[in-house]
Amino acid sequence: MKDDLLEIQPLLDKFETTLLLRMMGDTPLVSVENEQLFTVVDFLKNKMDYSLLLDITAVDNLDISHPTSTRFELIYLFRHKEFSRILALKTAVADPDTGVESIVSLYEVADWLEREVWDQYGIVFQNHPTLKRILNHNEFVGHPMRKDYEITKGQYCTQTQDMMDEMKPLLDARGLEMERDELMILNLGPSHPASHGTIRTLVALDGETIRAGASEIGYLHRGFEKSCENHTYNQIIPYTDRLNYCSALMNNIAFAKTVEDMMGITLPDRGIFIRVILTELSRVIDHLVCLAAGLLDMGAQTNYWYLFNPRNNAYDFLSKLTGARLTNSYMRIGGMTHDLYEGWRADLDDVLKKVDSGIAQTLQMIQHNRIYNDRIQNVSPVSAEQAIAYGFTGPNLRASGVAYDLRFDKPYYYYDHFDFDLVVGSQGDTYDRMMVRFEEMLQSMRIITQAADEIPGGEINIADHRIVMPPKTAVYNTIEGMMNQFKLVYEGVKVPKGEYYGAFEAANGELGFYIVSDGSGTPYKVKVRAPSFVHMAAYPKIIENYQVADAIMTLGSLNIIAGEMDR
Amino acid sequence: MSLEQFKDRNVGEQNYYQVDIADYPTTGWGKFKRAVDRTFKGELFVGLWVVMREMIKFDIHTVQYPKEKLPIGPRYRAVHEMLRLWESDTERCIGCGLCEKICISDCIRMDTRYDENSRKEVGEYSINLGRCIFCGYCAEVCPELAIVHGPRYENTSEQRAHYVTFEDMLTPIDVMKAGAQKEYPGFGAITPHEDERVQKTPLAY
Repeated sequence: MKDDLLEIQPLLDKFETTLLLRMMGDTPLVSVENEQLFTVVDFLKNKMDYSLLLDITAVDNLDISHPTSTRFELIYLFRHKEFSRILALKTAVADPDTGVESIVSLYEVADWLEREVWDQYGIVFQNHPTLKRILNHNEFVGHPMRKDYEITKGQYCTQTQDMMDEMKPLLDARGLEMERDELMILNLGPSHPASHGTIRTLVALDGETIRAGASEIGYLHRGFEKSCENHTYNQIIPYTDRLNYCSALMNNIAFAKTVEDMMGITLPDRGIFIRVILTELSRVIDHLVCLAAGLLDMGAQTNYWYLFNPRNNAYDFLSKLTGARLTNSYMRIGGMTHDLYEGWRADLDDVLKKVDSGIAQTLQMIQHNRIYNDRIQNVSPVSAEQAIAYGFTGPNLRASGVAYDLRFDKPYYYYDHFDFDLVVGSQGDTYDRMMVRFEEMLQSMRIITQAADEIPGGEINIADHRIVMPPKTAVYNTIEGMMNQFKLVYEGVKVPKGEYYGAFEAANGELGFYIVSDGSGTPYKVKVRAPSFVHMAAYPKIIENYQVADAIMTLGSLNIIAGEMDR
Repeated sequence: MSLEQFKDRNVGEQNYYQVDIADYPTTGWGKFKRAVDRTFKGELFVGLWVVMREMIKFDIHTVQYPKEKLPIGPRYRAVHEMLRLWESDTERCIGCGLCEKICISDCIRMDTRYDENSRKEVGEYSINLGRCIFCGYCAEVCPELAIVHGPRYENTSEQRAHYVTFEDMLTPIDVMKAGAQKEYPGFGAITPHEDERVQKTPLAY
């Protein structure tokens, strides 16, 4: 904590008069005046090397009990270029219609993030190039994340948009003209198997080559963050299953861990080891889906079965353990629902063996295959600087050669004790993005084996029954158990007042939850820092000057999961 | 690459594959030779061999679904069931309303009243399976082990409402009389080792 404060000393020295400092967990939170925001962000980026913009979000203070100066506050989250430190910037928005200065000129990733804040909260960003709706439909009236927007107030929106308002400036910037250059406009998606979910990308084609692209998302927007504000912390866990549905357990764990960190509780070792095993197994499953689907796009159908069969085995194991194949809902705040069942180790080893042989067979077929290599090598490369500017995290960033992995840079859950390697690519092209995932699966399996070997006995849940459900026998036989049970159901887990940002190395990148608690059992605000959202923002830019068939491969290799992107 | 191979950090040359990095040929004959070279490389036949191998193995993965079914684990969360007390054959549900309160998708509705003995009893009870997300929270919070997730995952009916009322989920009385009601070690239930004790005394009134 001391070091973190020392690190931001230059910022305090320069802007001493206007900054108000406090800690948010172990993250320094700096309050900054509205007018100074752009200068401070500029200073952060260029002088202090906070090069990765993680997220921008807002808080609506309408319902909050303690008096605040303004109704809306904006929160910016930055990560230092050495990746272990985060800095949070907070600014009060006096008037949402005037808003604040846009920082798109400093961070490219801010484009979609600011659009989302405007869409959800109605805060204007001055000088933003295309400030329009992103998650909600373009006909939508009002701003749903405001506290005075009722959750039940649904709207029927029917009209599609032609997206030319985004495409036209792109074409102008490239000096292109539809008729003169004989360009053709084509919709990739939204409902097409190759779009891996409902994602629409509008491209201007010159022959087969993409000259400009613009994406429209939000087809799977279901108001996750709004729903969170109306459910207790434990009730949110089934919702997190549906964020990145290819690795549902990992989202469970990330959310539960964030809330636990906020409350300052740690699981018993056995619970932590189970979480590590399941996290890594989820990572394997997620990468299997990504690679299998990516190879299928290329026409390599045999590989698809070799990767999907072991995935099915893994799901059988999870189904036996958690009670569901995909929507596991296995974690709870302060622990999990069940212990491992008898004979889990044999099943797990069997799964690992099958995954291993599936990967080996697939690599045998594709590794030296000309079609595979020629199709994806040097397609849509992203340089290290570009990847950071786009806000990439996870395998996509590592493919570009940036060694950033939270399991190394800020180890949690004993990750520093496990022996495994960080996988990095070199070119950041589609090939690297896929091969990094292949290698990461092998590394994850190493972690699983080690964790399963060393798993200690004992409890899986913390002992505090104000947080976890008492055992059924206690509910039957004791009045305390009965009261704990009823209070937990009716009021939920009480999380101390405050705000917190928890980051977790998920399969797709840094999965973060920014949670504001007002001390009750229901969160005041939950914001998901979804890796797919920022990856998708970069997608139309990186497919430029490549062919349509390459764009499909690129989308597959970025592993865009609509569930977490659209929330 | 297997895990053992990977753990061996002394990678020698044998694990590397020499990539063809010769300059691109300029002459027509050179281009032709290169194309022939690439086309008839052995690696293209690797995929064909894999398909061939699987074909002669006759190891068919397909499950002939209606005839054979995949086994499901005891924790599996399928359609809810309502259990009865072992002593009195009456239903376990006491109408406390916890399942209704915890339900994330608001699909449980219950209505309670006092019966002639001034005891609370459940009047109407229904689960809207069209909304249910099978998260298992109702079974988890039930203090009486009355609602559990059973193993039945195949549902057909002319009306969705047909299998969601209390009577449909409740263990049929003849099954109960025959002593065939199953206790689930799965969702919402107690741990397997405690089964016997609780079967005898779930509610000692």
